[in-house]
Amino acid sequence: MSKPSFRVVILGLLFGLLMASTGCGAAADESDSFPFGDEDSIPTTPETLIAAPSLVLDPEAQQSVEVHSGWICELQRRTFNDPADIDQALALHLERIPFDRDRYDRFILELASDQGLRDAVLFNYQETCRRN
Amino acid sequence: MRLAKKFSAATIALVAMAGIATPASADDSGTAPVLLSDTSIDWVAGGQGWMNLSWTAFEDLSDVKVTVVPQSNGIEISYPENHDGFTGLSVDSDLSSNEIDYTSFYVETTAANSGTKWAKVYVEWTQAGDGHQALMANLKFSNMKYKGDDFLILTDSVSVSSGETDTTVNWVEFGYKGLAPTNSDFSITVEGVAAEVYYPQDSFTSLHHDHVLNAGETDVARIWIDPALVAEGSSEIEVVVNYSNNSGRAQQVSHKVALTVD
Repeated sequence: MSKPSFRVVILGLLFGLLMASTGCGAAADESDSFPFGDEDSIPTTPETLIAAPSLVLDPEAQQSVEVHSGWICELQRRTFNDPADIDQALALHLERIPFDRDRYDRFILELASDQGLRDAVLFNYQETCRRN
Repeated sequence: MRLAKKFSAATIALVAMAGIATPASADDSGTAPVLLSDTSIDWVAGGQGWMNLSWTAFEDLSDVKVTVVPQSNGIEISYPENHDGFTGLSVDSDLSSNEIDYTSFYVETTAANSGTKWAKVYVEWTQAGDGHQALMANLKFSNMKYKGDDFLILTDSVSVSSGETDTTVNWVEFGYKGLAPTNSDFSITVEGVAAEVYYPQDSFTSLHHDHVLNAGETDVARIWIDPALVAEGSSEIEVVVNYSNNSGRAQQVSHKVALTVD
């Protein structure tokens, strides 16, 4: 993209000030319908993210998978007053199951280097969160 | 996390019109992170809070950065203070193949502007050494007017001592817990006390922490009753609470409190 000329920049600034002061820039304020023409450029998240993994996990690892995907599902559906509330909510989530916090933290560290675990978490998330 | 600078639609309009670089809207999404969260969000007008978007990727990506750009008036976005103008993943800046991670950002909406609000979600990432950026979603905040009680009254009885010479004693507290997103400008008076009441603000009292009571927040209003002037016994007093509700309208509620003097 070429750099705009000085005149264009000034005109643009004035136009922007006018739009901002009148609120006209907020064309989408009260409309319930999709206000942008860029819908076609937005990627669509596929219905199926991953096929069922062929690797069968041991019961302990499978439980960790289910706990973590359940937490992600809960987390994204909530808002929090303070970032510290997120960790408290996680602690409560684990306590309700119950699931040991240290064990959960170790599982999170393992995910970075274990494709099989990541595949299992994504599949479980797909089956229990996205399809509900 | 503390809040960094806020971004509103007016700020973005000025920046965009001046030709200063903003997140590109070009479709460069071939290897992009995949947004898992819903993009249609029910939101109470005047509400605020940290929300999270979940992501995955089909290939190993690094340096993932997410920006959320308001497209409507009445909505502002802030990021964690440790990021300058963007938010990042919770674990680290990388998103491994099929890993799920989330990004957090703070949303504030004004009660006066109800109705649907929009924001665009952009993401930047690096893959095999090449930088990419793309528009990933249009977030739709369906602002709903708050319906329900504005706050809970936590106090139904108080006690003071007669003849107490310690002036730190005999402070009476009335507790409140916010239910609506925001109530403000609290001005509280008391009627029916058979003695002079001392108000911290001379003719009224307000909330101890500040004049705003947000949803989930608990605060107290305090008055002082001179122990030399109050006689032993029980009575009922009336606490009159004037405030502005979530829609900015002046409201008044009163509640009875049992006062015991011993």
